[in-house]
Amino acid sequence: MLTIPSLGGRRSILVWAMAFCGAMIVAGLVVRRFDLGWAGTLAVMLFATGMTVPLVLAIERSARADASLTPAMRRYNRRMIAGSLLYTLGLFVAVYAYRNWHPSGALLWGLALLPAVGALSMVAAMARLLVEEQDEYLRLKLAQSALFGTGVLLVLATVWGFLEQFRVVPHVPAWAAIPVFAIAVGLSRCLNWTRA
Amino acid sequence: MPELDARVKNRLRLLRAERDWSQGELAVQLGISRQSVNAIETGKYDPSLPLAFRIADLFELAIEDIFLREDGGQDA
Repeated sequence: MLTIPSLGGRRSILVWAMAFCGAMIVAGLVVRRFDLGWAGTLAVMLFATGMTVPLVLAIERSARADASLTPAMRRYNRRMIAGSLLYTLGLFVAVYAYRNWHPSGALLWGLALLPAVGALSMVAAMARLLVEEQDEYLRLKLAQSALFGTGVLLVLATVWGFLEQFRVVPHVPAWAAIPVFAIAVGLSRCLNWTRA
Repeated sequence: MPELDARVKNRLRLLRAERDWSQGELAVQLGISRQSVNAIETGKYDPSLPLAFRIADLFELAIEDIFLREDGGQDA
């Protein structure tokens, strides 16, 4: 989300961002360590993912106070929350079904692609934000961040690919492209904050 | 050849101050974000022609009364 929050707003965002990261780490450890059953596992995963809601609300509060929350940005935030919940749900269903029902053929293809639906809905949300944002300056900053993210992804994928080819580093699954891109975009926006 | 990256300065901050508007108030009237107003005022961003017209209309001035070439308007 591209905003320049006030200092108080930034503190609130930082607290919720840390809470979100903490919830994700704890949820990962709990799910791996304890047998919670399918309902328990799903509840823990959805709770951790749901921590994006207070984080996004804190970002929006700060942006609204700063007269920087545009309608397109608000829609983007809603779509990203829906996308992340859809991704969590898709990932859970795919992993659960794969482990318990041992599917094959077309069903296996469908299950394997299920987590991608949520992830791709987040990519679509980014694209729609670029199209729908009416504020030309914010749109420029979004485009710059997306280009930065693409550049970082290309560099890392190329370098890692050759290192992997020569067995210097372990294999990284291709779906890592989205988190790498998202982290690079986030980094670019943080740099924009500090320059603003 | 004219210089393509010639810098543009503007009197937006001054005009806003004369009307006692905050950046946020100006942003709302223009239908843009406060960040955009700040970026234009500080010279980090030159607005598009449609936005420059909107700004000129709001202040009831001609575009060239708000946005000025840093070389003072001399042809390169």
